[in-house]
Amino acid sequence: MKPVSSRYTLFVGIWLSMIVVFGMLLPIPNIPILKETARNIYFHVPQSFAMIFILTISFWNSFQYLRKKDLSYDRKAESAASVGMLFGFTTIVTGAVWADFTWGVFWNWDPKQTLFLGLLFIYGAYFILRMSVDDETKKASLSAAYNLFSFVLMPFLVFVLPRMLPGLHPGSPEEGGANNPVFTGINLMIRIMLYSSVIGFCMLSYWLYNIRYRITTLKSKMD
Amino acid sequence: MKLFLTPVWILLKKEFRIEFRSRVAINGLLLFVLVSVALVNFSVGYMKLQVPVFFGLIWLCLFFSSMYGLSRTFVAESDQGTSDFLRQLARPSQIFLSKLLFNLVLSLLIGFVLFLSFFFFFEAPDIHWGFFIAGLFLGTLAIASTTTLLASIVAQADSKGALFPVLSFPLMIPLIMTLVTWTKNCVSDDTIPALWEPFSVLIAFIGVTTTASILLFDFIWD
Repeated sequence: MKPVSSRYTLFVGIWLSMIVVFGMLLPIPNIPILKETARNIYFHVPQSFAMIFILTISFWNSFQYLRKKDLSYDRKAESAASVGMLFGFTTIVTGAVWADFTWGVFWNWDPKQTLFLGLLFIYGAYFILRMSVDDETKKASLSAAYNLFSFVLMPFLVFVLPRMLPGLHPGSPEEGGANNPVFTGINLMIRIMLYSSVIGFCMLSYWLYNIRYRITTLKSKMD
Repeated sequence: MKLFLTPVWILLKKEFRIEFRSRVAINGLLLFVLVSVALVNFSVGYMKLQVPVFFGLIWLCLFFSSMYGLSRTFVAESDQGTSDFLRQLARPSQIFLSKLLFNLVLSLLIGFVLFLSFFFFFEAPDIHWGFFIAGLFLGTLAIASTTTLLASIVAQADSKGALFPVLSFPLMIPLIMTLVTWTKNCVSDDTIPALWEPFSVLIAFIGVTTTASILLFDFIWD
């Protein structure tokens, strides 16, 4: 894999800086409990999107490994999973800070919070599995199988159960439908900002994944 | 179809024969279940448990007991060096199906013993028994279908240690939440509408895990 071009990195840098500046400066509707913290929607939500995006890349590379038995796909899957864990971690941290302001404490055992943590545990287990196998090809095929298996169960963790069990996140059944409070009413500006932030964070995660992959390739060449 | 299922049946009989020859595993498992229920009883048995807590404890005990029992089928094969003979005898999917059925029977056994001892030791809430047993069946089916593939992964790893629970528990988090919702709803009066959601989630979960396991097992078993 080639390093990303300098134009790509420049674009991501400027794009995300603009997201930060406009996210802080543009007016935001005054919602009772959220108040000014509603701006966190530009950072917390896109990071979780970026995590799903990069884990999908990891899934795809594990799939390719099982088809073609080429170790470079295994390294790609591993790098993408590690970047995914990083974004999962930042999502939890930004979410916890937000939860402290709106719900009172950092951790509320809301289903979505808990299941998101479970998703991080799954990818933690993926790395534990990689550590406990010595043979390279065996490690690659076992961890690819585990990655595929856990990815097909991910929708239950991220999409199905949070909409079924009562909780505090928007979209939980007891909050009167799946409406996001920041989205109430037609607010085009918030939508545009949110989706551009999603694009920015996905591009950032791809860049990190690219760096991570090149490091692991160099390491495996040195061994 | 019959040609496909004959080896499955033969392998399944082999599993049972080996299990009944030593009986160490099955007796150890039953004792494990009883001891864990007694432990729960010693710690919280003096008070009347709320309904969700009661069912949460039951499913937690079931999960831990199945961690003890369900990894054995594959680990024993790789310990005794019999995997290569199995490879000669049957196709991967046939081997997998026989192990899955064996694990299903084993986890059903664990489940029933556990529930009986729980209802013996604790003051149980009034429940709809039909729905409850259906939930028990679905739950054990889901546990077996999730863990069988992971057991085959663990059997191939070099340092096994606590690997099986580490791999399985995170994947079973949605399961325990759904199962506790199911059993909790067995207590209320209008059961059927409340059970529809956990039922559909469980069916989807079992379908996804079984299909993915059968597809992925070919790659692990090579």
